[in-house]
Amino acid sequence: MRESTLWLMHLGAGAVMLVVLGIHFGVMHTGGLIGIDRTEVLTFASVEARSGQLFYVVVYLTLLVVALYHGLYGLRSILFELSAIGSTLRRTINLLLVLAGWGFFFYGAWAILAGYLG
Amino acid sequence: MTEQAKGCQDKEMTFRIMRYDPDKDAKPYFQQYKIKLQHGMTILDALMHIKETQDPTLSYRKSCRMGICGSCAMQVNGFPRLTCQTQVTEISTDTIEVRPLANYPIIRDLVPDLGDFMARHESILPYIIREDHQEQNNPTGEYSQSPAELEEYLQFAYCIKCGSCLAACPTNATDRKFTGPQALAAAYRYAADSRDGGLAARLDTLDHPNSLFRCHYAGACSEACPKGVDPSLGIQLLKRKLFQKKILGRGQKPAGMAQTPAGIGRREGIPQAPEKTV
Amino acid sequence: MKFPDLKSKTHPNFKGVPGWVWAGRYGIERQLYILQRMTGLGVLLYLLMHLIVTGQKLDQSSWEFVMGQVNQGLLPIGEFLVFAGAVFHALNGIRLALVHFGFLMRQPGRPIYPFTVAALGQRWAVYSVFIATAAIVGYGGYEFFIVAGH
Repeated sequence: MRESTLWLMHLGAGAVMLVVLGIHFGVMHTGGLIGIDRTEVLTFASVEARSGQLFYVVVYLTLLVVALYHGLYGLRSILFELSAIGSTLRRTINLLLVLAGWGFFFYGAWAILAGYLG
Repeated sequence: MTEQAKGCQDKEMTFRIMRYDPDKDAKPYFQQYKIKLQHGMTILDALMHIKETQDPTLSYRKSCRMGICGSCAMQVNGFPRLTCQTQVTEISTDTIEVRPLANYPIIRDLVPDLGDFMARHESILPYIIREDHQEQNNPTGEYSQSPAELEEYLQFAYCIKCGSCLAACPTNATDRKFTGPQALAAAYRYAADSRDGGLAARLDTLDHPNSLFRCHYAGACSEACPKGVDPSLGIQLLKRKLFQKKILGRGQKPAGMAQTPAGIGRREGIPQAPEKTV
Repeated sequence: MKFPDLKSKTHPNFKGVPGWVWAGRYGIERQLYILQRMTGLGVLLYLLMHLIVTGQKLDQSSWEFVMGQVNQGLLPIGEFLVFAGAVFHALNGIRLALVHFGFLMRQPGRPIYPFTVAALGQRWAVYSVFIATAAIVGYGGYEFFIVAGH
């Protein structure tokens, strides 16, 4: 994929994150504004209740995908800028980041879906 | 001479200059020189004065001494400047530190190696690219361009290739393959030229992991530019142009030939253009 | 006959990673560049740890154990700093996304001395980022430290 496409997806992922991370932060850090009790938000019962709602499953799955892409592309940019790296090292970095991304995605998706289904 | 100028006249200044001789020194070191300030003295004048009166081995690069050639850019107190355009009195410290431009290998003392810099400039194909090669090689007239179209790129054509922008750019501090603000702004200069149709030909260089998208808009290149070129503006506009072409398919159609006004003759006394010799 | 190597010996004079971090005498956009980078790395590191921690939510005893662990010592302060960093990163990211496409800035013109830079045209956006970050983080801090008593 061309660099311009990857970079545009990075920006697109950032834009989607504004919405889904905004919801996450809205609940976790500024929930008082929408009537959510901050002292309750992290109890097991409260977490379990959110895990069972389809809305939160969609929000957290979307957040997982876009946050991993946005974050790992950002890390890739920094690694590529660290030195004059050749195409072999570039491919190795790409491969490692893709593997890490899929690894964290499967772990996170399992936790979200198991909470919803189970 | 004003009172202020008289006050400057005999002031003693210390210059802390980075020295490096690749045949003798393992790494650069600093050497100090004291000189008496003269009215109107620039940093470059001071370096020439030191070379003439104290140390003939001091090496630096200069040519025009009036901010046109771009040879004498150096780090003055940590900031890239054209030394011929920087008055000693502009610098408020009593000791002035002069180093070669950062982010370029040092050939000797204050002389940076600009070889890679020029190669990067070449890599973006810095010339008008069109398909009408016959007309380009044997012009029969002028290409049409309005004053408004000229102003879209004129600012970026003022670059004198002094290299200050790369010395300021944080990406260039580590990434030796980064195309750099000078070449990217030059790419915009041609991409924005209404006579050019070569953006697609430049994509191999621009749409590369070490090129256009490694600019994160720190803006330091624009602050360092001594000619008001504002490379960071050019780079962001180049991104816009690239996506206009890639996503919207809005490529630039190169301007056609300007129409010669009809019924206008040559005024008396104005000679004909000379015959082509090549 | 062996020709001498005409390639001159040089000393690399690259600023390296300290050149990212030390913004020197450049403007506010240059300082925000490194802040954006540091907050981005911090939030990414937190994201990966956060994924591992929240993976424990399937079992009540595991969840209560990890929640007990992450509420020890200075960790809640670290969590709040990540929240503040993420808010700044997001708001500054909006400014950067607009700037990357040439919006908010003065458009090209004839460079007339004394030269100015197009970045000045988007300074209002820089200050807006500061104000909005302070407002959101301020309210988040009230909930975090006062309401929840971390």
